[in-house]
Amino acid sequence: MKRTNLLAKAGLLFAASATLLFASCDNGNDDDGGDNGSKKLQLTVNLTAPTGYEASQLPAMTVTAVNSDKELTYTETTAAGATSVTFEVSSGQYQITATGRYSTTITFTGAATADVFDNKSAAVTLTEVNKSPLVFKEVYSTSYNYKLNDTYMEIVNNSDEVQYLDQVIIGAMTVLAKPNPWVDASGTQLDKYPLYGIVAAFPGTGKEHPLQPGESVVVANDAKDWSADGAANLANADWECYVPDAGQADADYDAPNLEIVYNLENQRRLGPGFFGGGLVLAKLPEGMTPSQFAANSDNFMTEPNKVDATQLYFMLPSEYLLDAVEMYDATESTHYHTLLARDDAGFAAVSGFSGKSIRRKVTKVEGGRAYYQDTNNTTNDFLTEQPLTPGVHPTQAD
Amino acid sequence: MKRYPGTALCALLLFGGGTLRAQQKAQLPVYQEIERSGNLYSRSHNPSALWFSPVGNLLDFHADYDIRRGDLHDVDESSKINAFGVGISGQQRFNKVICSGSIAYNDGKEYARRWNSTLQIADDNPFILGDSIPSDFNTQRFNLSGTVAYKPLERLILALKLDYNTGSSANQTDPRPKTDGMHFVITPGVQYLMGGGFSLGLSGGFDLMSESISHEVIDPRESYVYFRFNGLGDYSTISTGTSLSYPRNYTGTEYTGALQFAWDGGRGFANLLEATYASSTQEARDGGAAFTFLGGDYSRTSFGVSDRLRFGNSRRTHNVIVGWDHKRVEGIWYEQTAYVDPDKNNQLSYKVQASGLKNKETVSVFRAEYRFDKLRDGLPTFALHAAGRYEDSETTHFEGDGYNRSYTRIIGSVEASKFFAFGRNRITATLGVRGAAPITSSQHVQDRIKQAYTNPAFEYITATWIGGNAAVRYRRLFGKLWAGLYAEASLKRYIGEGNYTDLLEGTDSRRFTFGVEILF
Repeated sequence: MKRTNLLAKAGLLFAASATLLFASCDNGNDDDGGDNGSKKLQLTVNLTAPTGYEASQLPAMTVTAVNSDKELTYTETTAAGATSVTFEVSSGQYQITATGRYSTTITFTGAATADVFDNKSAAVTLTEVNKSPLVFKEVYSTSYNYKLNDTYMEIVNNSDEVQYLDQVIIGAMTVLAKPNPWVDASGTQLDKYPLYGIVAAFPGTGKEHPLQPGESVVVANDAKDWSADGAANLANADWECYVPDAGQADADYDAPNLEIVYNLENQRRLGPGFFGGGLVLAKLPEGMTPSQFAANSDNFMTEPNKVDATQLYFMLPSEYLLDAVEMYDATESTHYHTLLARDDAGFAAVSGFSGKSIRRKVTKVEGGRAYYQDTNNTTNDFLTEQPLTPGVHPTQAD
Repeated sequence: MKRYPGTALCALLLFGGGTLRAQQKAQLPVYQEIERSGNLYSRSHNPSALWFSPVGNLLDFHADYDIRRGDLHDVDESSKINAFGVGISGQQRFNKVICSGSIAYNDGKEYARRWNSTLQIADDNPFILGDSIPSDFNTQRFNLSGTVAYKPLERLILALKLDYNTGSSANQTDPRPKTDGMHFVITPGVQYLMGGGFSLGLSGGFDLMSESISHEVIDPRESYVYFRFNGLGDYSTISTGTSLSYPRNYTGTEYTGALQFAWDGGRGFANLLEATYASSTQEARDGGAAFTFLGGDYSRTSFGVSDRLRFGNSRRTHNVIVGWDHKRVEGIWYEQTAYVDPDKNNQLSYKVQASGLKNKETVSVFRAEYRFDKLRDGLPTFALHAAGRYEDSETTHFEGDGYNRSYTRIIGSVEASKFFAFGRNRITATLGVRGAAPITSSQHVQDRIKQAYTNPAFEYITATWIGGNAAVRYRRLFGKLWAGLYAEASLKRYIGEGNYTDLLEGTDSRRFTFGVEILF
């Protein structure tokens, strides 16, 4: 009997202790809510027509919201005259672009970013984009097998009139690994671009270097035959970027040389980095030469808010751009834009040392001439991972 | 001494041993079997279990070489592993005190492993940091353990166990992770003998862990991606272009409580009922001194109940164990946006925009075991062990339209050992069969790296496989010590239908271990 009582007491004691022990096991916080994990937010994109146009004049607009971190892309096409579109999206940071063709020569385009961590509205102010006469047809900046100097770019006259390359500037910006620090005191991006490394220009006084409609020129870093190394034959390049006093020895091949306007950090190669960056083509106002612009210290500045900044960047105003292209490292999920949306609203992915280029899409081929797409949006306008085709134009539309 | 709290205990064991008695000598070759079948508390959380050990004073030194081959493994494990291990453990009983301790060192190489650069974080922690480049990992682990049980009063046993586990791994393929991990566990316990064969025990546990990962990139001409996983194959990436070394630190704690209620009838019947509760947290923080990115907060709440019934006589012992374990794992993720901080010289910084439950997993396990030992003169001559478990797991991932994974599966094994004695020679031969199969399984996950990571991981979890194992141990008595050799082999073969990927079709997993040991 005594043993039975002891057993009962011990059992009760254990049961009571176990109850206390498990009392806090379930916090009752069932976050599932029965929705199987769904977490969707509304992103409403409001479009504002370009200056001089009514909302009712808006063409059908393709609106794309990209969350590069989560690899999500949402695309909607609005009806003509529509000024807003709503997406159901996952939370995160979105790059929004809107593009629509108003006429055969005019495109409306705009871009914005939105941090969507609750239902959110984003405003995209559209700008009118007239086709640029000179555009990059192909950019090969990745190099192949670490040859480094096998890179080139090709510029095409995409207009129906003769264009002159004289004093046209080529410059590049480094790929950003963090949000763009080139902002003013209010955090707004500056309307001029910090060019890094070599800033080069075509020589000439105005009409010495004509480029016929549909024709292109290849600008090589080293104008030699790279085909044995797996890259392109650039021995017949039209121009070369020769830097006699570069940090690394440079050879002067047969192609005529560009003029070196500025060289921050004594670089050897013209163009963006192997893993991306921005590339711009610009022409200064009539009467101002690149060397005169470079002689003015007001056109240089160091990185804002950086106390130990010593590098003086060549600051190129956005208003002088003819064309701009932006590329990012394909392995990088987060992309930070260097170009203003009005100059270029997109990106093209590149893989460092892949030996591949990006090439502008061809919209049509007439009379053997290729017409290239130009909506000021690298994402839309360029094909990535392309074989090297310097001086060769596609014979059919993409 | 502070860094290695078990050192003093172990030194005591290693160098302070007393004279062995003759009957204890006979026990030595089979002391592990005697402990497993004869100590009702051998699997208890309470370190006072040491007091009830039927094994006498001993010292066990072993060294072995482990070889693993085959593609039937989890997606973040290796198909080829070689490892060398050495360890020493011992036990010494004094008047009112009994001590045990062990030191073990393992040095291994895992070939072509990827997707996971962590070392000692919780297995179910979804916040893993890794890269996709197959690399050969060199891994070293060092474990130090010491337990002391003290009986100050006739009815009271006090015990304390200290564990210090540390490890380090690295590989020499860009991006080169270097990982250092540590667990320090303190487990106090008390047991009150109520009389009449009843006893009540209470034990607690505190596990302090930390782990750090950093990377080195020798060739900066290539760009690499670090995957910051947050559950069910979902991830956020960052490249070496943004952060070359991408450091991450984990810190965490686990608190455990357990209650034991035992009854020993004294006629071969004994029963132990144990309930455990544990609460664990681990936090991942990235960036080191350069920036702070919150890599995810993991928490786990688990509880379980088990009952062990032992019955038999001097010739036969039966042990039946049944148990139920349940855990709930939650992962909190922080939505963060990058910005340059003008107050910190344009340094990259992250701002938390939102946070919430990202990953939730609940797992219930029912398990049952039976062990039979045939004895002669208190020593086993034959042992049979059968075990089975049923698992039910559900995972929900809160992203986008929502993702989920669920499965139920069964795992079973039967193993028999025969113990032979020839004069001064002892041979143990073991044969076993094992297998696992899913009952139900389904998953809805993101397409990103689904083919390369998420599907192979789930196919392995829910794989149908069969296997077997064999082992031979030979010992010979030389004077006062036993010297021995042992060899073990096991095989698992996939026989599933490739529900989620065909990568495992025709695969197997083979493991061979060869070792030497000295017991005295």
